Amino acid sequence: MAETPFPLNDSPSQGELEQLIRGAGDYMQVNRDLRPRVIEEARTTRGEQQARRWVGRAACLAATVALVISLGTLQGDRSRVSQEPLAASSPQEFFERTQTQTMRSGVELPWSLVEVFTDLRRQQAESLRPMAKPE
Amino acid sequence: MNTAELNTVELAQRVQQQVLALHCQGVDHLGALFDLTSQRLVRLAIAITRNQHDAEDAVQNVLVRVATKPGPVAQANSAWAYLLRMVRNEAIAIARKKKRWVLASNTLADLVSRCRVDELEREETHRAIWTALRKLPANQAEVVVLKIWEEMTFAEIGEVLETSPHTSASRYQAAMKKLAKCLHRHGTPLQPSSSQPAGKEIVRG
Repeated sequence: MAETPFPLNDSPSQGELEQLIRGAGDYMQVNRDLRPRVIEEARTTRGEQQARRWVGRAACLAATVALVISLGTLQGDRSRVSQEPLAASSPQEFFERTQTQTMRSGVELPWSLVEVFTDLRRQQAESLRPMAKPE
Repeated sequence: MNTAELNTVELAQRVQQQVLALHCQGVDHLGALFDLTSQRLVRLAIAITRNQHDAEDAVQNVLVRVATKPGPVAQANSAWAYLLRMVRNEAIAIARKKKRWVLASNTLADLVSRCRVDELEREETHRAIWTALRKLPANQAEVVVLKIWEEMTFAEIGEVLETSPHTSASRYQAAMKKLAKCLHRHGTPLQPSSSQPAGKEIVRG
């Protein structure tokens, strides 16, 4: 103790104090289990992150596929509907059917007109309901 | 190579390399970054949390974040300064949550220490220095750590702590005065350590 450069009652200069503190830097050591703990935690977090990303991508893909399929179906229905001619699409055909109805059922022309018109509306409604399943 | 022997520039370069490797090749490179920086980062965090367990938690959180999202660190001007700032912020957050400031300041029970056989006579000095350091306000202790152990300039310290170099310098001066006073009051046998070849080590935890 007597050989120490700084006796107990002397205050060291700032440079000496800095040197002392520098010397104590390696006194503290990191716990040995910290390294594996950090690496394991990083791997786990990374794995969870990748899993979340994978689930997100799968959900996006499924949504895209569903969208494409539904768009395709809708497009198909529309083209089917547009290809089907509407019943009695021309006035001439309409009046021909009215006359035929009058002759067949023997009712007056206005009532036949109503019946043919109602029938026409029903056919149009059915052909414009593309998603309904055929019975 | 002992990471304590690296100078600031070499250390900063190697940290940058490791972070880039982590960015390009993934978590497998975390071990190298840990070996290079862990002791220094824990040392800084202890100055703030006053407790090694909390300090290690802070370092763990930061390194895991860097490993899983290395982009911001890799793109920083100085990866090392960025890493130090991350650890500091995390340590402050943990210290605020746990509030162990007063409890831990008078004991070194949590500290895992190592002392070479040829330095056993200095152990008392080292303990006194660590005890005194943990009694300092955190904003002064962190400047001491960065100035003396990380060999940073006050401008670099200011960058890490987001303060002006002048503020860092005045905190450092205040800290040194308190440390001198504290060590003198306790009659610490002050003996500066010289660079000596590594001998056998005694580890306490």
